[in-house]
Amino acid sequence: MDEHTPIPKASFDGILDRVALPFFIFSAVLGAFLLASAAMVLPQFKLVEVSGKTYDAAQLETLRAELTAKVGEAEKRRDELVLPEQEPTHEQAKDERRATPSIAGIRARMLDDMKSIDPAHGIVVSTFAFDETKNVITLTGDVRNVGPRSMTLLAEFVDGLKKLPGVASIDGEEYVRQEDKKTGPHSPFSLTLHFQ
Amino acid sequence: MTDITPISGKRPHSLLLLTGGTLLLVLSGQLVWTHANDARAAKQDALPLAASVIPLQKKLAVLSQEAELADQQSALRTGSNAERIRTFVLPADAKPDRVVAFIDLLSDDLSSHKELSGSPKLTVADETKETDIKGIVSRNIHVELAMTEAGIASFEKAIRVSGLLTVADAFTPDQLSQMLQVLEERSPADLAAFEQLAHADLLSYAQDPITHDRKFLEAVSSDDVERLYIHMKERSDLPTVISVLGSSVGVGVRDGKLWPLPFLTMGNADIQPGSTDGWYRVSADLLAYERGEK
Repeated sequence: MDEHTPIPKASFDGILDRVALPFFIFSAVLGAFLLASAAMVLPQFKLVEVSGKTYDAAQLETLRAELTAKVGEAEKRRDELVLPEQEPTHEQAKDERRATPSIAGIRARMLDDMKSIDPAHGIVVSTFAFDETKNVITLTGDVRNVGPRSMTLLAEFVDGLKKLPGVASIDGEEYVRQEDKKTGPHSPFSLTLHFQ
Repeated sequence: MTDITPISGKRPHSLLLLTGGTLLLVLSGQLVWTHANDARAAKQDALPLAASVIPLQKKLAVLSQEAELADQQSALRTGSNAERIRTFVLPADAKPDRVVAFIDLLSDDLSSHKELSGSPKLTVADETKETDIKGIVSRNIHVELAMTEAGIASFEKAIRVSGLLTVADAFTPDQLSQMLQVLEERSPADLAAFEQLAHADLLSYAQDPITHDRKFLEAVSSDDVERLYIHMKERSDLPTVISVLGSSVGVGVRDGKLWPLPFLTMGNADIQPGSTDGWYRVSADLLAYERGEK
């Protein structure tokens, strides 16, 4: 070929013919390497060694479930041995008693509140009755000898009762002022404290 | 002159190679996808699972050791807690004499402290009633007393400690679980010391709490366990137990052979001001629990 001979234009078919074999060889080698990796290397990634044994994800899931159940049983057995032998009815009786309000505790808090809001002892609680089946305490009494402030003082007293531990709600919250010829203005009350 | 004839004569062979190469490339693409998925699955699933399994294995080993130690300790112990509960605390077909004796003792003590005036009036019911607890019935013991505010508090405290046998009974189940968890995590070796304390007789504990506490706290090596016990004790029934059974009431219970005390709980109660300022008329139902089977 001399410098005057034109270089033939490469056709698309010609390019394809020339690249076919290298392309095939490349694809075959790539495929072979990836197949070998999938067969020999990849399984190693899927397995995890735990305490000297190898597991895959599914086996680990099963192992975890078994261990969780065994730990639960072992904790129960340990508790039974460490703590004194329990009698179920005794446990229930203790729980039930703990859940009932402490009358003395409620009275102590109530009396403390009364002292702080009513140094003149205008609030008189004439009955304090605990009903065990309904879990309520009923208070009846009167606010007297404090002049026209009787309703205000009663409202403060009721606010204090609402903050007593375990009190869920109070019934009978009514504020009236009555006149008595001897004692002057007074506000009687009858309140029912419902416990949780 | 170089022959530059295009090699189009090899067309079918080239097409075959191109097709084969394309298929192999598609296979390679799928294999790359599989590699990526499996690597992600290993990272997201297998490794976290393995991380959660190892602590479970360790925990199981610790629990087995603790149970073995506790088993050895229990072999040295005599008398069954459950038996004492069935015989004294929740007896079947109980005679009310032990309850009456306890209330009598309590009243004497309150009188000596000027917290109760006169003699209490007791009325014991003939019949028992069902309670909300399966297998347990209650016998009503109606009491009428004249007491001060302090007397009412002391009386109720004594009722609330009746029927408790061991130090463990003075704690709530949640408190005990919390202590066992901290012992397991921080100091499994201290479990034996806690086991001893939990099993201690409550009357003995109340009459010398300092010695019992000191013995436990000296045996414990973990500061966390020590701090937790002190915190738990303040929030347990132990302070009430000590104030009742650590006083002359406890001495009377021991000398009168009334220990363990029968289980009592407060029923309906009515408190009204008495004729003297600072004194109250108390009318209350005490419920003595018994096992319902005959």
